[in-house]
Amino acid sequence: MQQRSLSPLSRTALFSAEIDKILAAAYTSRLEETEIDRHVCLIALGGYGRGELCPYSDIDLLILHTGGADKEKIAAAVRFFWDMGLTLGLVVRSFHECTKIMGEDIASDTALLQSRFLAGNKRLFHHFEGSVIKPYFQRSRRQFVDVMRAGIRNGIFSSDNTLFRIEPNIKDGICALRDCQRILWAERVIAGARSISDLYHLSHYKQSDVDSFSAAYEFLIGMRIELHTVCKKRMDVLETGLQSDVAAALGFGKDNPATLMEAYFRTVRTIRHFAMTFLEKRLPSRGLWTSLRSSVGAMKIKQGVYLLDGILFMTHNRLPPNAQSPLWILDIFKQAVTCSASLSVELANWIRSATQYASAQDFVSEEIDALFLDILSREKGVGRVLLYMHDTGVLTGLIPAFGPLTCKVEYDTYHEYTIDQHILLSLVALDELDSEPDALIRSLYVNCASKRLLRLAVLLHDIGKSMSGDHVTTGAVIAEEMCDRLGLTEAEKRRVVFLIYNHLSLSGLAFGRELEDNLVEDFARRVANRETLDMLYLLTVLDIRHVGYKTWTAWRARLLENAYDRAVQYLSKQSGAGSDLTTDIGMNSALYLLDTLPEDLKKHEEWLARLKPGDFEIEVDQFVGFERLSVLTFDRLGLFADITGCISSEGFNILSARVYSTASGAILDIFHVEQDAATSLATPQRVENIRKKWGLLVRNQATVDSLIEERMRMYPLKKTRGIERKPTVRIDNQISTTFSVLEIEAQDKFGLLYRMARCLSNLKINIVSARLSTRVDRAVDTFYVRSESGDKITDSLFLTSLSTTLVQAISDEHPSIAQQAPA
Amino acid sequence: MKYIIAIIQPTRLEAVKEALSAIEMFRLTVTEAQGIGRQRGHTEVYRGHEYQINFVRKVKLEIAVDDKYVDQTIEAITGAARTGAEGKIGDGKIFILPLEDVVRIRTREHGPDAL
Repeated sequence: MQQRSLSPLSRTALFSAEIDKILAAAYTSRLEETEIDRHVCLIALGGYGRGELCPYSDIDLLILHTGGADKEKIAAAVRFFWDMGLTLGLVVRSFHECTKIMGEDIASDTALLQSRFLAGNKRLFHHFEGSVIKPYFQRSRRQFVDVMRAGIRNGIFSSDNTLFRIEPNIKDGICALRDCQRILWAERVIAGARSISDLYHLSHYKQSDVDSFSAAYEFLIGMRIELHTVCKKRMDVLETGLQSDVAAALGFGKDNPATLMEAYFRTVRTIRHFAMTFLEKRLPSRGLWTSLRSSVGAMKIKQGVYLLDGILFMTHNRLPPNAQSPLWILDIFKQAVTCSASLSVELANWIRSATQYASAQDFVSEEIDALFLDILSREKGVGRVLLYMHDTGVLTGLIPAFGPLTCKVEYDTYHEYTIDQHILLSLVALDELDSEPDALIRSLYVNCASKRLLRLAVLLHDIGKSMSGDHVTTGAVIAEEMCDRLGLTEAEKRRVVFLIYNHLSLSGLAFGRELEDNLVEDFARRVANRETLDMLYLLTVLDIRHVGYKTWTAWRARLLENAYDRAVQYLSKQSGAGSDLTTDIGMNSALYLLDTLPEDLKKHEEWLARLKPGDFEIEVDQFVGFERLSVLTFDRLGLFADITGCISSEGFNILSARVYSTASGAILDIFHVEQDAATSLATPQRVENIRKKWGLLVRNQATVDSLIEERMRMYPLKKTRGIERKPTVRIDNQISTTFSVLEIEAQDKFGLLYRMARCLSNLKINIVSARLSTRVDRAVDTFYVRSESGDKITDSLFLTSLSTTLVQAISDEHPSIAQQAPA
Repeated sequence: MKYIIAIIQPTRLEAVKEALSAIEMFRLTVTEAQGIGRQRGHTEVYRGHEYQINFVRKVKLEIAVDDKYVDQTIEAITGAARTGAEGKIGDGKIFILPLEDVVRIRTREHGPDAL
C-alpha cells in the first residue's frame, strides 16, 4: 500500500490481488479435496469483489455450497479463516438459501452484484451467477435503479445543501464514494457497465464528463486510502484533527488542509454534475425528450429553447449559429428570471461546456453588460439564477475574480461555507427577505431604495478575497470597475463602493465596542444618510447569517439592532439617550440607567439594600438564545477574574460583561452568556453550582485554576480548524474618551477570558467592560479598562510590558487544546 | 487474590461446574448473559444476512481465587468449556482481574481467609 507512485485504483487493485492469493491459499489448504471441491466455492463480495480494497476495509466473503457439501469441513474452514487475523465479513450459504434471500436486503443484493470468483468450483460460481444473480437483477431492474436514484436524490436535494461539510464523510457523504457507486451499479444493471471505463460506451454521457467523473472517483479513493493509513483503522469521516495529516499524505503539504478541502469540494461538485446528468438521463419515464416538441405544454422561448413545467429545455438541432456566444447564453438566464424557471440538466451541462471554450474577450461587450445589469435589477428569483450562472461558469466569465473564489475555503472555526457559497446563499436569501420573520429586517428590505444596488453590494462584498491583501480595499476597487462597466450613475457607484468598503464596520461597531457617543457619531457621519445605513444593515445581516450554520445568534441580532438604532438616532438628529461610560461608573451612571429595565432597577436597589458583607447574589434571566447572569457582591482582590473563572468553569461561554461599582464597595457584574454544548445541565443547576463554587473559593478551599482544570479534564475540547497563531494585543486610547480599549486576538481556548482577566487584575488594571466579539471573521476580546487611579493607561513602557505579560499568560499553561482522539 | 470472570456457552455449564469441583473450587456465582464477539453474534456457520448483529445467550461465571490456584482454575475452565476437541467459535473468554480484598459478611474476616 505504500507505493505512492501508482494511481489509487491501481493500489487498491494490487492490495486486492494480494488478499486473493492469501485467501486462495487458505481455501486450498482447508477445503480442496475432490469431493468438497465439487460442491463449494469461495466468492468475493462488495468492495472486495470490485477489487477496490483500502488498507482497513472489510473483506466480504461468501462460501457458497450445494446441499451435498460436508458441513463439518466447512465449519472447520470457517474457523481457520477467522483466525487468520484479517477483518473478514464471512457468510456461508447454500445455493438454495441464496436464492431465497435475494430481494430481502438491498445491501446484500448489491454485495452480490459485485461478486467475483476466488477459489473452488468455478462452474458452481458461473451457475450461481447465471441462474440466481443475473435473473434477479433482470427482473427487478426498474426497482433497483429507482432505489439507487432515490439514494442519490435524497442527498443532493436535501434541504440544507450539505455538499460542503467541514468534516465530510467521504464514503457516505453526499456525492461522495457511495453515490458514485450507486451510479455505477445502476448503469451495470441497465447497460451492463462493469467499471467506469465502460461508461465511455454509453451514448448519453459525454467523453469529457466521464473523464472528470473518473478522475473525481479516483481522487476520493486516494483520499480514503490515506485516511485509513493515517488512522490505522477503518475511518471514513475526514475529521478536522486528521485533515493536516491527510493533506500531507496526499502531497498538499501539512500546513495546507485548506487546499485539501478545496480539492475535495471541487471533486464532489464534479460528481454532483455527473449525478445530475445520470438522474436526468435515467428517468423513470423515457419518452420525455422525444415527446417534448410535440407536447402541448411546451412554450417556445426563443430558437432552440423551450419552457415546460417551469424548466427550460434546449433542442440541439434547432440552435442558431450564435448559440455558443455568451450573449445568447446570458439571454437564457434572463428568460429564466423572467419566467421563474430552472434549467434542465442538459441545458446546464451544455452551457457549462460552451463557456469552457469561450475566452475572456468574448465576455467583454456593452450588450452583455447591459443584459447583466438587467438581470440584477429584477425583483425576484435573481439569486437562484445567479447560482445557475455560477454553477455553469458564466458568472466567472462575467466577473473573472469569481474564479479563484470557487470552492475556496476559509480555514477557521467561523467559516463553514466556502466563499462562493457564502456569497450565493446570501443572494438567494436576499430575494426572500420580504417574507422574513424579523419585522425590522423585513420592512427595511421592502422599503429599500434600490434593491439592485444592495444586490450588487452583496455579490461583490467579498470579491476582494480572490486576491491577496486586505479584501475590503481590493473589493472596493473591483466594485468600482464593475459599476463603471455596468453603467451605473455616479451616485449609485459611490453607494455600492461605500457599502463594500464598509461592510464590516457596522458589525465591528456593534460587536466590538461600547456604543459611546463619539463612536456612534463618527459612524453615523460616515454613513451620512438613512438609505445607505439601511442597506448596510441588510448587507451585514446577510453576511453574518451565511458564514456558517450557527453564526447568526439572538445575541448578535440584538447587538446589531442596538447599534443600528443608535445610528438612526444620530442621523435623525435626536439628542439625548446618549450614553457613555462616565468616569465614575457607579450605578447611577447614564450607561447603567440606559441598559437596565425599570423592574431590574428596582430589583438591584433591593439587592443592594439587603447586601451584607460576605453575601453573594446571583440571578439568571433567560432570553431567546442567551442568558443574563447578574452578580452582586462586595469587592475584593481579583473579584472580576474569580467570578469569570467560576462562570466559565460551569460551562458558560461569556459573551459580554459589564462591571458597575457603587460607593459602598459593592460590585454589580452583568454577564451575558450562552451555554456550551458539553454538558446538558439546566441553567438553574449550573447557577447553583456557581454559588457552591464561590463558597469554596471564598473559604480558600479551591482555586479558580483548579476549577478550570477540573472542567477541562472532564470535557476536553476537540481540535478546531485554523492555524494556531500567536496572540496579538492592541491598545487604543483614541477610541473611547474616558477609557483605554484593549483588543486581544487569540485562538479561543477554554478559560481564555479568565486568564486575561486574572492577568489584568494582577497588574492592577480595572476592567469596566469585556466583550467577546466575533466580527464576521475573527474572535476578538475587547476590554474597556482604566488604571487603578481611574485614568486611561498612557505610560508606553507599561503598555509594552502589559502586552508581553498578557501574551504570555494566554499562551502558556496547559497545552492549549486537548485533542480528542478520532472516534 | 484474583477475580476470574468466565463467559461460556450455556451448554457447557455442567461440565465446567464438574471440572471446578474436581479441583475443589466450588465457590462461584453464575449469571445468564448475552454477548457478541468478533463474528457479530453469529454462530460459526451463518446463513443469513451478513449485516445483521444478533446477541447470543451465554453464561457468566465469577470466582474469587487465591493466587496459587489461578492457573489450575483457568485450566479447568478452559478444558471443560470447549465444545469439541478443538473448540468452536463462540466458546467464550476468561478475564482475570486483580482483587483487592474480600470480606465475609457473617464474620467480618478479610483477605484470603475469607475466600
